[in-house]
Amino acid sequence: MPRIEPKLMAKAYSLNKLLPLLLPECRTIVDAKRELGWIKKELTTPFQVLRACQMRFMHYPLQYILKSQPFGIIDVPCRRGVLIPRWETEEWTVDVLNRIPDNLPISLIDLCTGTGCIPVLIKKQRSLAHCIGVDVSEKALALAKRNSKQNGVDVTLLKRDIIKDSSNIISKHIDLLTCNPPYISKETFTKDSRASVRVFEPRLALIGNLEFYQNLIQHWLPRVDAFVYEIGDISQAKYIIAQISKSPLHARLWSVGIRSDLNDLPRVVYGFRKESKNFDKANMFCGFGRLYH
Amino acid sequence: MQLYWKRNLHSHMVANIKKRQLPPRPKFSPDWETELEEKFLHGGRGPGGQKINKCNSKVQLRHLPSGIVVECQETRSRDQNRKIAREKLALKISQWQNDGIAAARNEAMHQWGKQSKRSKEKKSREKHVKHRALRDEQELERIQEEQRLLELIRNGE
Repeated sequence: MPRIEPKLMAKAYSLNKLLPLLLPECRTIVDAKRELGWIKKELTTPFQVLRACQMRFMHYPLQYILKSQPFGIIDVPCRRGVLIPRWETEEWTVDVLNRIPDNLPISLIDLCTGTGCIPVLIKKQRSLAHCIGVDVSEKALALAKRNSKQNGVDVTLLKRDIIKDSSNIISKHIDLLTCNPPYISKETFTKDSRASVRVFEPRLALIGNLEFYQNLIQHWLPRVDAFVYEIGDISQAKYIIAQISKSPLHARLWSVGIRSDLNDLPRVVYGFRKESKNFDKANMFCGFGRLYH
Repeated sequence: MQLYWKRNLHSHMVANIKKRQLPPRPKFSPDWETELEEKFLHGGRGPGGQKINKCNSKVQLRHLPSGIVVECQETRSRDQNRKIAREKLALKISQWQNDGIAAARNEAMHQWGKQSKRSKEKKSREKHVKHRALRDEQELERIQEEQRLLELIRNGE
């Protein structure tokens, strides 16, 4: 990240004394002004605003300061120790949501749910759906509970370690499995991720490589009709595609594809059974991404 | 004599516009949705996803038949920005459909701006007049006091 020019700092200071504090995160005066507006709108006293700007100067995430992040039509509460929902996740979740028929009681399970943004949003807009959220972190579950309460929806929340034991989380068949697992590898974590993420967000929700994708192949494929997993790197999607096309059992039943986000980076690997019971998943995922298997 | 009576007396009164009674905003009609190109911009090449935590979202709408483009990034919520962008677009489209003449609301807003500016000016003018009158009065009192004193001194002599 290049440094901020002193000239720019001085210009910002002449406009508002708080703006230079926001510049390291926002980079431009226009963005800093906008962010200051948001901070002033949500915090009441000038002292709180000053503290917030000072924390921003140290790269503290804005969502932890304001304690919320919009996600689709809902507002998700955010607290230290739980990953902040990203716009990429919002993008694919809203797309999946719009593809779910609103007159069918589908069952959905979200692993590594964190704030619970995905099941809560889906339950909010598809009231017939049965949504389950699973996470290993105590803090995340407490926040997810708060989230569902705040948005007035009923979501089942379970505290389980998916890696250690996936087999007895749920016994019945599930229509849709979603997951935003930790997917940043250790090497790229120090190299690529921003300071605000590296320092202030929980590593438990960030660092991982293939564990959750292996877990999907081993434990979840036989029990679900469709899955949507967020990915950080194309290699993770390739792993899933390779595993499914390698196994004669899965290869016959499953179609797998990759969806890119709007910055044209591969962001989601998804798959569905070619023939499923409840409703036609192939039709549902038509045009969602590009099929590779 | 007749001519004098015919001089141009200023008899024009401006109807005041009330902020609460502006003409309604042009509504965004759902039929336009098919003629729209919606783009979300989060800017930036390089890594994304969990590695970066962005708090702003920008929505860009392009109305294909007219080529009007509006952008919105006022709020943190993408959903909210989409709604605001549609309102902005509705205003522009109504102007475009009206052959470039601003919609009644725009016109009224403009009038309202002028009107409030006028009233502000008037107030500040009146303030000066009032102050001047006050100053004059004080000055007069001072002079009278002095004269009274002078008279007293003269009488004493």
